[in-house]
Amino acid sequence: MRKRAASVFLSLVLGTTAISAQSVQSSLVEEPTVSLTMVAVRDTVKPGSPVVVRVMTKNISNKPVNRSHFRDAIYNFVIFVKDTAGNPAPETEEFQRINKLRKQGEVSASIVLGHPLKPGETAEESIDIAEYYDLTRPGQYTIQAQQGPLKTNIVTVTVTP
Amino acid sequence: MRVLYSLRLVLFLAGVALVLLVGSDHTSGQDIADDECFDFASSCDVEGVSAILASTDSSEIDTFSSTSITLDLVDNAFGADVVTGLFLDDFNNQIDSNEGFDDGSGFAEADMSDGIDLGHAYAVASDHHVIDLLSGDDVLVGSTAVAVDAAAPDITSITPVLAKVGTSGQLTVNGFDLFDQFDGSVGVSQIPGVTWSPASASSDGTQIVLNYTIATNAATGDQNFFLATRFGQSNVVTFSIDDQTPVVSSVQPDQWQAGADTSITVSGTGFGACPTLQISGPGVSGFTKTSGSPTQVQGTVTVDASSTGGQATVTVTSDGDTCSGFHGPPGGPNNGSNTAEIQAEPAPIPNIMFQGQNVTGQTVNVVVGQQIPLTVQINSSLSVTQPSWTVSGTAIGGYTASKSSASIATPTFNQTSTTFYWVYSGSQPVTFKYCLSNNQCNQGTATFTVAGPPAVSVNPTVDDVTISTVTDCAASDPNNNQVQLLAFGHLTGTYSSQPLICRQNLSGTPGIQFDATVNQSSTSGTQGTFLWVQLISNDSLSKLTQTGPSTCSGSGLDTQYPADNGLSTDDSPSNNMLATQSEKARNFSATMYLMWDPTLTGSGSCKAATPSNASTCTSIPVPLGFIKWGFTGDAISTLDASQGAGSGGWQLACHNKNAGSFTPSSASQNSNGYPIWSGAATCN
Repeated sequence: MRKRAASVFLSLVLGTTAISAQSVQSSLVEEPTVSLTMVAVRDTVKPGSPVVVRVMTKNISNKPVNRSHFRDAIYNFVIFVKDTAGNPAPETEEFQRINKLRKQGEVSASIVLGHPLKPGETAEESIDIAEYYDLTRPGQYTIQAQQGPLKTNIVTVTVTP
Repeated sequence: MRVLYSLRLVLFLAGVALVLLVGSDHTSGQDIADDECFDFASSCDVEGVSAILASTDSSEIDTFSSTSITLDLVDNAFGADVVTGLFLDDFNNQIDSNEGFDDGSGFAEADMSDGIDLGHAYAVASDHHVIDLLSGDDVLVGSTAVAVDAAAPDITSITPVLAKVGTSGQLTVNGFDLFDQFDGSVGVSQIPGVTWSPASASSDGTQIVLNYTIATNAATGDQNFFLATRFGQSNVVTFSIDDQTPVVSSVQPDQWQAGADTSITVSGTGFGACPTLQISGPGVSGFTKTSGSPTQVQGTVTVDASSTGGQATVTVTSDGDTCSGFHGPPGGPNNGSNTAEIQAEPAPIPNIMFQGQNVTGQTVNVVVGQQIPLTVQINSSLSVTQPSWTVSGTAIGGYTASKSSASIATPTFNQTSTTFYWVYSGSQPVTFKYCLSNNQCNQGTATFTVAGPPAVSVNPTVDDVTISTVTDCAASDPNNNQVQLLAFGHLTGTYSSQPLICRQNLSGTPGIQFDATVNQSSTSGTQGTFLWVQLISNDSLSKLTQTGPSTCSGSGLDTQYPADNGLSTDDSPSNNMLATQSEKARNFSATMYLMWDPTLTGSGSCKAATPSNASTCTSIPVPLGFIKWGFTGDAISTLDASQGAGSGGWQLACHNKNAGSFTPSSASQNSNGYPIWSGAATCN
């Protein structure tokens, strides 16, 4: 299990970031304590409509899991949105602003320490993808969220004309 | 004028109804006094007569004259003599003469018979003589005379000129030669249904007064009225006989119910033989006459249910007593009216329907935030107007919240149905008022006992502004991966400036912790769901970098609606410091609201709104109260930028914090205590 997690992470890092594997080794050696699942509230939407997905974090361990998080869910995940050709969807201006700060390494948000997630308990976070990605062009889009080494399943949303 | 002394009816002329004998005498007699006898005898008496005989008619005038002496004179050889003349218009115009001599018995007479020229006055004058048969002396002892107008009656006026059928009265006729100068009779034109009788007459024939009785079936309209004597028929004047003006004395019944047929009896006079019925009034949609007589009409009237009520007018129109048209004075009414009162259909007390039950007059238990859909049932075929609901207490049409906005809907209270939510508890009467299309109004009231939300108290636990050091798992240098945060609260653990890298694992003491305590004894029996909603009044973040100062500020909803669920939540606004920054300051103020949703739905269970899910309930959250809080902090870097971030060197220059007490929501607060926003704060 540990090997599989490491290989997943390595392929991810090699493909997306220059951050060294050594810097994150400490977080990889642990067994995953949570699982991430994504569902789309609606599979088909009109252009300009909200595209809401829910990301569910489930404690799959046998002990409480820290659930501290940014109140704004977009700070807690990396979202991948692609069209049918595999091209990333364009970001909205608001998301470009947020990302600019993030690339600078600055995060300003409300942190909720909250209550630990009990074993088997699931916490939901809702994200309107349309706030961050321009999904006004009709077509199919795949959406996936990632938090650390963990990825959600991929959901498909169709924007109809 | 003298009172008539006799009456006899004689058919006199065609078209003339009767003859009235009013009494007259066209014999002129003279009793000669004794001293006119020349003392021929101890007793002496001479009678002279001039007469126009009753045999006179329109073609011939017959006269008679005589002188009569007493036997004493006869015995003393005296004889009578009469000399007579007939004059036309003037005593200078003698048209005939005659003389009569004593026949030996002391009596002398002379007759004349001449043709008549109508339109003239004729007079007979006689000289009466006594003759001494022995000496031949002729003594004129006296004269007599009598005259007559040989003219038909001439009517100059009648009063009145009209009368109504079924009435009696007197008709005054003015003119000349209005009655027979011999026998006082007069013929009156025959008018069917009219009976004449004498009342009085002037002695000179210029006025007569007739009694009349007009039968109800008398001929109506303009009638020819004239008089007739032996000298012919008078001019014709118009005597109008009018039908009686209808008078409606009563209508029974005089109260009619809208929406029903009512049999009525209309009583009065002058309706004629075939009256017609007319009924008008608010909502009168039909009527029929079932029978009619001069004094009564029966029928049926139909009043529509939509009648607004009020006075109805019942009119009976006469077609005359013979059904041949009504005769009356020009412009005069041929109808009579009376009224009846239409009783409008009353508006029933409305049934206020709640959850399939009629709750009018009832007391219903509900809870704040519960959807109250009300409709009304009104047992009437009429349309409803002016519906209005009066709902006491603080009732809203709904509370809609999302990340972009939150608003309170205003309930619609001017329709026959309404849906609203009470925000606060209490005994709240709800009244529905309405009117029907006939302007009849009514109302119904139901009383709702609105149970309140759980009584809660919220105690904030406030930490302090710190420079918290955490481990940034995204740092490129694992040996220099400490990040310093200008934080409200004491934070430790793993932090991820790049969420791709790791799941953050922070712990410590939050900047502010909100813990609600429920007084369970106060709950309404519904557990419900608590919601936290935070509005940022101001979040101003200032940074000083090598390129100069910059500030970002914002206000609005803090990230999401609701911020959290449950009886507790916390917040630790934080911002990491970068090596490129030399100072960072933050001024943060917010209001944390606590709300409660009874989580009610029409059927089955539901879930109140969460940060990830919209509410599936028919109920809405109601505000319980709020706490205002905030902090300020200023962090200054004491290191040279070349030493890099996370190596320490940030010092908290000045800082402050504040948190108020829990303020229960009330209807008097802005938006009735609800948190309202028009966008999310974007600078946090």
